[in-house]
Amino acid sequence: MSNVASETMHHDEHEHHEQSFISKYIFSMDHKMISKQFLITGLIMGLIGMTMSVLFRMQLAWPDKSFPIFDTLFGRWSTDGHINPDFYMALVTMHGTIMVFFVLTAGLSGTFSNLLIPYQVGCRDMASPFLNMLSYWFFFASSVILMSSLFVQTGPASGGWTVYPPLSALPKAMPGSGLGMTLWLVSMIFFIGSSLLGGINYVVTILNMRTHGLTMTRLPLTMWAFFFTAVLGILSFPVLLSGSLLLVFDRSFGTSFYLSEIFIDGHALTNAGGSPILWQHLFWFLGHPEVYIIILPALGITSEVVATNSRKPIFGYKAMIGSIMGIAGVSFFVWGHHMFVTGMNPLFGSVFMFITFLVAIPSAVKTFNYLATMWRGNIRFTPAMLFGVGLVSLFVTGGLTGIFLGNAALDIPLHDSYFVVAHFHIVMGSSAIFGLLCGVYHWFPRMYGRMMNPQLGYLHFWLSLIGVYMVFFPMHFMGLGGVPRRYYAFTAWDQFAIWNDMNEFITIGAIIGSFAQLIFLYNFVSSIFFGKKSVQNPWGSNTLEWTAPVEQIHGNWPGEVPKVYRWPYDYSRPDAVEDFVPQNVPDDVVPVEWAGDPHGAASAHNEVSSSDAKSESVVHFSWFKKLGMRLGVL
Amino acid sequence: MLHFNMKKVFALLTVILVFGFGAFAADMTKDPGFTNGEKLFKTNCATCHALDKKVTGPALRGVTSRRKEAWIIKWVKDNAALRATNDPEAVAIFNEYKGVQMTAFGNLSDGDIKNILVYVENAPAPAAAKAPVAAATDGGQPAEDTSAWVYVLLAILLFALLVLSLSIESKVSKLLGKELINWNKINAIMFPVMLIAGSMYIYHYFTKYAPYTYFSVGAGTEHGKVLDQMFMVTLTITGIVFILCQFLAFTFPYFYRHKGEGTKAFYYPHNNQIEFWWTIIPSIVLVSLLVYGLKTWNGITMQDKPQNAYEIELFARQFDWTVRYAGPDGKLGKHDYHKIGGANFVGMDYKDVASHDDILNVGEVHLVVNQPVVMNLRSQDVIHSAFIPNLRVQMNAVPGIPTSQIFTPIVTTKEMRARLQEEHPNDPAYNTWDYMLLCNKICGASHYLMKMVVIVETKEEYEHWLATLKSPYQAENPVVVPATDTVSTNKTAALK
Repeated sequence: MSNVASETMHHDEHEHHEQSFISKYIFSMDHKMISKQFLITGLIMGLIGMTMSVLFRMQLAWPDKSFPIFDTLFGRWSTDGHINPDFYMALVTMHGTIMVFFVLTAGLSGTFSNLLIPYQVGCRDMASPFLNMLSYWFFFASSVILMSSLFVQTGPASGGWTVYPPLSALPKAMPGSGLGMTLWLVSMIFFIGSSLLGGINYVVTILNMRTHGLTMTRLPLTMWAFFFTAVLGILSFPVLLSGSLLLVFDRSFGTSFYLSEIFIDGHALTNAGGSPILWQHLFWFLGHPEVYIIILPALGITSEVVATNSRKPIFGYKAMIGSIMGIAGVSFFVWGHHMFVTGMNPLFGSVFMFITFLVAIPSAVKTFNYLATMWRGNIRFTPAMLFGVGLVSLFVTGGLTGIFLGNAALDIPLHDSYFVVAHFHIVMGSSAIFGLLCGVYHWFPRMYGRMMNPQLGYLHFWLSLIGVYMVFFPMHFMGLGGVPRRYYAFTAWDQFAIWNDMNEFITIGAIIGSFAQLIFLYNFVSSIFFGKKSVQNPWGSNTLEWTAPVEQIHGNWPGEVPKVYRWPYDYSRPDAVEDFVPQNVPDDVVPVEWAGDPHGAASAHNEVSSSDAKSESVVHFSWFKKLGMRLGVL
Repeated sequence: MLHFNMKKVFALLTVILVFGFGAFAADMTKDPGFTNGEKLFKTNCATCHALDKKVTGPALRGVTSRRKEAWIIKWVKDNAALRATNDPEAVAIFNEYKGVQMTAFGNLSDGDIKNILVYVENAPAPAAAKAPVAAATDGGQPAEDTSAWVYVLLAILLFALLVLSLSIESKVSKLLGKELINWNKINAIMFPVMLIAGSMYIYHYFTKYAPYTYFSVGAGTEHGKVLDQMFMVTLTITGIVFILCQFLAFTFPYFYRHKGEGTKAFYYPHNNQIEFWWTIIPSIVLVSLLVYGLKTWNGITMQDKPQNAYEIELFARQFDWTVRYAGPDGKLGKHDYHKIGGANFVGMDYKDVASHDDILNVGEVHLVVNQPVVMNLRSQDVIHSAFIPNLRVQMNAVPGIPTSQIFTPIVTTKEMRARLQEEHPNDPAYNTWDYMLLCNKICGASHYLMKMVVIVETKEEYEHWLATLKSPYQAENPVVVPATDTVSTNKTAALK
């Protein structure tokens, strides 16, 4: 209905092409251009964040060595080739902020939601191209503000990316809590604006602008993942926004939301009645869904890539949707597991621990489904597929350590140790980066009409995998040795001297991993200009974006938008000639349902052969309920 | 494309490398006083002082040229007493650091302090030590930097070579009309290769570092033992899943790789039964772990104060820890952050008589073995966290919000040290091992130096130690005569 309307509305828009440079490349409202803008901004931020991590890792690994490069780069923030403790904390903080928000939220979800949503639901652009443009420019402004804080007198925010007050609220507590922190907050407010504008657009587009025949249960898993990512963002980012505003009030207008009974710099402050723990509640109410905002798109991308390159349907399509839903739903009620040792009522600890354990179930289901998808497949190792498999491995490794940390009792000795650093860097840091790279390799031909060099891609992958495991696996042992995170040096701690070798090893791993990313950047940039020209559907994929011409045109498809007849995972159908059946192949060419299905498996997802919305919602509900009951969510 | 005179390039590389490595040979002071001084400095001074940088206190290098040695010794031993004599230098320092008082180190002998000074003046300044050698290589550029550039150069050369050979490979393949290298197979084989290499790597790390994790020697507390056991159970379960999943993730790619044009994948979209089982089995395992965890958590956090427990208070500020003992009356007096100042830097409220006998000690806390202790936490400025890894104790200190944790140490420092020495007979570091309390919530630039020694000992040792400490209230309001007596005997001694 509404999709029909939008189709007619947009129908002749692609006719006029005359666009100025500014409206085409800068203030573009075309989802494809906006996705490129997000990607390139995200990659630049990623390069900065990565470089920071290598530099502070060098300081940490060789505290007694002098690196003149620090003096060159950081000026007065460095003395005799050593990063100053203040600035070390600033680097750690900026690395976290950049990676979590600017690379893995905007760079990942922003890029691929923008690129894929209109293509894969079969519409000509986002529901609101204008909001979409605003979303990018809010993000851009936010990036610029954050980067500018590197150049202020007192340095950038340096209280950790979680910016817990009172440390972040009191400029007297550390220099980074001065102007740098104000800029951090302003940047974050812009960022949240960007995220909300984007999120609303994604949700509306997926719900209302699907093409003919594309029922919700025929959506590729990427769409499901992006859909729930957007919902999570819309519901949780406003909480951080209000939390940030309260922090602005505390910092600049003398309120006491987070401050109470503080004596600092020789004076007793008058603030009374506030609670520093309140910030942690507000922050983690976003912060925990945030990790799923990061990982769900990566999982969605991987689902698509693993199925396409295994030449097999994704195993358990509906279980996959159910687990995305389960993860998304549960993620709102687990934030307290970041706060087990804050002195919060232990009863809360019990509740949060209980719900946290629930998340492990859908996560496990997802992993098993990936493995089952590869089982008896016909796997082609494109660089994207390699990163997909890498993600599965990392997701397992990092996910399992979550079972230790989600346990409130075990969290007592593990909290804020290197064990935690290892856990989240593997499960939502590296995994999501692998998802991002997987997506870039897979959809590069769609974005730029050219192919990336596959051999460099292989090299990039293997070095990255080695790098990630070299860096983060040993950290588990450090954490179990009681080594705390966010320490500038361990020189004053005899009992941690044993970990010095390991610290050096980790830094070497980080340098190898970063070097691999430079190969990727070279490959990315050179392929944009000199890559081999792509064919329309280079991976033999079923989804709609590959039915559009290689040349990107305004409105995506030259004629009618394609109609959809089937789910997106008809790979290696025994009754089809090719080993893939695109979604727009009509029923009379290849039947929607395969008659020879031994388990009645194929019938379940194609019960509705017509695109009637009403009967679809009935089916939708019944399997949702079944699954929900099974997962113990309902 | 590349027209280098390779001989020249190699000659240059060799020269740079040789000199680059030469720079690593740095001279170290081997004086015994220096070594002892270094140790004393790290345990006593490093919390607040750095050699070349102003931290909580002033930078110490060059202090002997600024002040006389005798003065320094007096200052270190009891700076309050020195200030009381209206020594102008002492008062000036006190004012410069806004009344933040330096801890008195009455326990250090004159010799100790002299050793510290030897260390302070002769400790190598990391940058300066290497500069002269570096200058020889290429006119001013420090050596490490140069060798780093060599690696960068080598990496770029290797990379260029790689790109070149790849492009040759693809051109030859095009000419021949078939793929020269079967990349799909290479990638497929890489997975099991990585699995084997990765297993060896993990095994190596387990055997090398597991003895240094605190789970190997066991916990020093009652609840810690339960946690260790639970850790092992969780490790076993997750370990099985880890091995299984990684094995499949790294072998499926090999077995089910694309083997040629004829192969087709098995169309198998789903199987409800198998989905059911791999949902239900993890659920059951997780629920059992959950019940186990909840029981333990409740046992640790929801216990009532045991009858024989005593209370202590840990007071945190940037960047040190202070312990407050209740004194003879067994009650911690009330506190009020407005009262912070001078000797009463933890803000005891003297209107509450219970605070008069409260005892403070900075940087070291003593606990009684086999007796439950209620550890109350308070912070004056930002959030800190008291983390004692070997006791499996961790709790945040939050300004304005009192927090506490109850635990029972069951292994004394001496016993634990003996255990560790037995575990690592060849490592002299464990001869001086102590339980450490470390700040585990980022609290500012010197967060990484904020520590406290924890001594677990017998009741007698504990009481003996406690008797050596004075309550600040009683020190300020001396009602007992002997205190003045000692001063007068000192005076007479000085006169003689």
